[in-house]
Amino acid sequence: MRPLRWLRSTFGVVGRLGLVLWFVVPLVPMLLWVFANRWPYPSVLPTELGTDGLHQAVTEGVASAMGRSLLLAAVVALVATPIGAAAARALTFGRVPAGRLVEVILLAPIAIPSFAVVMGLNIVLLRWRVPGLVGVMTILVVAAIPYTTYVMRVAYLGHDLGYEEEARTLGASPEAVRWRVHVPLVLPALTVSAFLAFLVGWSDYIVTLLVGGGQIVTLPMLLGATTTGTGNESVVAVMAVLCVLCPLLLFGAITPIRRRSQPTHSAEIDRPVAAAELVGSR
Amino acid sequence: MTDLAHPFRQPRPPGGHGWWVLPALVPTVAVLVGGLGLVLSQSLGLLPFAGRPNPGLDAYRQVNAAGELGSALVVSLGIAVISTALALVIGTAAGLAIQRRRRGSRAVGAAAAVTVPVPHLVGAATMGLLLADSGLLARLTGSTPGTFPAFVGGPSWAAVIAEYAWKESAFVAIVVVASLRSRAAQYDEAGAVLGASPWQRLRSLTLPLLAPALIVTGTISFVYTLGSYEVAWLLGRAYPQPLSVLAYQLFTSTDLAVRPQASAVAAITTAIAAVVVVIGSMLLRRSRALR
Amino acid sequence: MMPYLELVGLRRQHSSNQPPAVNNLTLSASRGEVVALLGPSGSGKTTVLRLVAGLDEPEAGSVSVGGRDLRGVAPERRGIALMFQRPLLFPHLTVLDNIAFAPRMAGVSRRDARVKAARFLELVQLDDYGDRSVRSLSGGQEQRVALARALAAEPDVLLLDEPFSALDPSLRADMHQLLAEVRAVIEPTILMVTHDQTEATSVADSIALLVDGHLEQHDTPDRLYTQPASLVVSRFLGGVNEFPGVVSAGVHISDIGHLLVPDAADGGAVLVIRQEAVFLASPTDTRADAVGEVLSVESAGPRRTVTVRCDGIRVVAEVGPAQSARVGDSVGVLLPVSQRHVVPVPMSPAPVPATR
Repeated sequence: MRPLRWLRSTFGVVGRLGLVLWFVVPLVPMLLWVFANRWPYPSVLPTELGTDGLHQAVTEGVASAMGRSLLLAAVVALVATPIGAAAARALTFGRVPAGRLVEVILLAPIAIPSFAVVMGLNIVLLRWRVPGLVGVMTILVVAAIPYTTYVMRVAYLGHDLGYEEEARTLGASPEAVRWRVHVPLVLPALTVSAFLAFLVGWSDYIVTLLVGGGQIVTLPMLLGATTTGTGNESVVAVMAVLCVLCPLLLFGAITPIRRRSQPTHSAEIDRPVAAAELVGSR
Repeated sequence: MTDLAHPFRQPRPPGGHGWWVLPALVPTVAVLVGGLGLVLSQSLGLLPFAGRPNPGLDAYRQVNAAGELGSALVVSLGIAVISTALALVIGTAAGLAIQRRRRGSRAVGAAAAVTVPVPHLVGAATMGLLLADSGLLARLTGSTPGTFPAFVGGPSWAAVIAEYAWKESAFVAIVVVASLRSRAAQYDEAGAVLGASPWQRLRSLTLPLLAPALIVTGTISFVYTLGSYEVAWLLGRAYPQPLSVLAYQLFTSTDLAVRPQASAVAAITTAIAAVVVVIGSMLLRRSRALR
Repeated sequence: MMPYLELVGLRRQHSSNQPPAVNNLTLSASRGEVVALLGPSGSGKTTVLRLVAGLDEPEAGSVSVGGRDLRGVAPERRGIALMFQRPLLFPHLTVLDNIAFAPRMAGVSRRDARVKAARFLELVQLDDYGDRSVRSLSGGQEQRVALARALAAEPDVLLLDEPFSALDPSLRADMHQLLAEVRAVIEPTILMVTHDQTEATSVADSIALLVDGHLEQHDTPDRLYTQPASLVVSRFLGGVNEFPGVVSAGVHISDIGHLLVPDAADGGAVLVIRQEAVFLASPTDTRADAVGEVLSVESAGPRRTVTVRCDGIRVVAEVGPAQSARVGDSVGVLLPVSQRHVVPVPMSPAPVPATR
């Protein structure tokens, strides 16, 4: 019995180590290249460290690209979150005719290749002379709605309307109920929704590419353009790291709100956060 | 109960009116129906750039003529199948490892979570830096130039598959953990005291309980991989092209007359995605039949 | 009778900064016996079951069944089945396949396992429910299926963790009846956790009272009530009459007077007597052990709890309608000798609070 157990537990530890490596190793080259001024083949580590890549990235306009990405992502988050939350609340508590169908429609963008939709809409976007950025924002908001609606739907399923009704009987107006009872209770889920919508706007490449024709330079666009060059791995790495850093910092910033406990059963605390985490990696 | 001051206003249902779905529903329907409708119309020759509408399947025939459509289908479906399968297996293993709370489980959980905010384009870039023939893996294995297998831009599309599998496995892992969170430990113990060995418990209890979650994540991953552009573009090869890259090439071609072909490819991709979703929901319904 | 299930010196501590959940527990059950593990919540009862089932490892002590030491043996190989508080029926299997689970895991063919499962389904009187999904069952039906599933494992020892606590009283009574019927057919050895005294008394052959991880007494229900081993036991079972004093030559001397307690050892002792055993009589009755004034009368259905003050000491009696009294009445209090029991306590320094 003893050797078999030892074998199985070692196998387990090795397996877990393997899984950690699987997730982490692909990120390593990017991190190594950031400060690598010179890294000729076949050295295993950079031969010369420096900030050349950083300077080069700044020269190529990474700051304004980040600014544009931030704007795009922020708008998508600020628009998609409330309308997704409103829809989720209506589906959970209100009377929505053909509710199942509505829910399927709102979740549909996940199943539809975005390039197909954009190629079609491009015709009307051009004909109506819609500004490129507006077109991108609209399409990305629709792409983010499935995430925000789903996360808020799960949150509302665990939400007890009794709190709001109680507040009304205590004399609170509908507005007071909304801002002092309703929103604070679902705030953790709202922040997760907003983060996911932000991620959709921040990470997009193909929609920006197709609608903007290459003229709208967000950070992913700049990164994509830079990768087509040769010998600029360091610049690429810098842009890539910046592209990851921003959502990572945002995720860290919302964590205290995300983890706030709610005055419901422990199962319901876990559910919105768990559901949000599950959608998060998309 | 009518409100006398406003006789035509309906009394408010306890959760508010259903109207509040509209701000989300209207744009979604407009974008989806509009976009897909226009794509379909253009592919059927109804919206030519110049000249009169010429309804028919010309665009489809043309894009098929050079054999490009066929090879695109093979490449796209192949990538989607393999990467989704890998993601499901690795993601389930990771999810189980995280949920079991042994030594190192939190490390696995943290590692999976780290890949979440990484955009696919960045993932492709860093995967390229890893797997290219001048990449980190090549340097670590000390291979002489030219002997390192062509993961990037090679016939196996290995780098593309690896990137999709990598990101999607984190997604699957998180879903598996969430799915097992409330009940898994208890059902596992119930199985143990009824005489089931750990392997039997995995096969007869854990995996069947995970089936719905895996079907959903598998379907979503498959459809996403099918329609994704940036990874295949960055890490793939020039020929044969997957569906998304082919469509993009045709769409941005200087010859405007091939636009309908781009729409045709887009329409076919969407149709395949729809079929996969239907299959997925049928499987889902069957797996839930007894519950 | 030879003990079949033996727990010796079991000790389990969940974390280092908490007191042990189970401390030095020694308990045994004979083959076919039903032992109830009774105690307040948090007393470690569920922990004991988990240790016996092998789901948790003890820090010290051993579990053996039929003489076989189960230390280090995985739960699936112990021949012990555990029925949890929640039914935990596997949602992806039908009722019949749930019951057939243990035989299938043991290697029985699917058809044979289902035949066997059908027998147990019949035993719990749900004959036609085999093909149903577990979702369609009511609470009581779920528990029956869970019981059948545990029985189908044909375990050497069956562990039940408060299996009926979530059911309403009439359903619970049905399940007790079912358990009795099952015992008549199969004669399993059962260790059952419950916090309900009535359930323990009606179902079990003997009761083991656990408080704070410590076994206070393991005895038949009768002796637990009338001859509690300690004040902890007496109080847990709802006994309120305690008269601290000293025993000398078979007589207990306390503030209420001199009471005969034959066979009691000399020394400091608290005399306890169940309130149900106390009789009320007229104040002039010569048999009365004390006389006093009725302080309060509380009704609970047809029974009444009468508190009498005799010379500053309170005596509580629980009587039926025939012995009713009114507040302020003068009554005599009878403490039958056979119902008196002394619990030895050290004289000082740990004083037992007097019932003043």
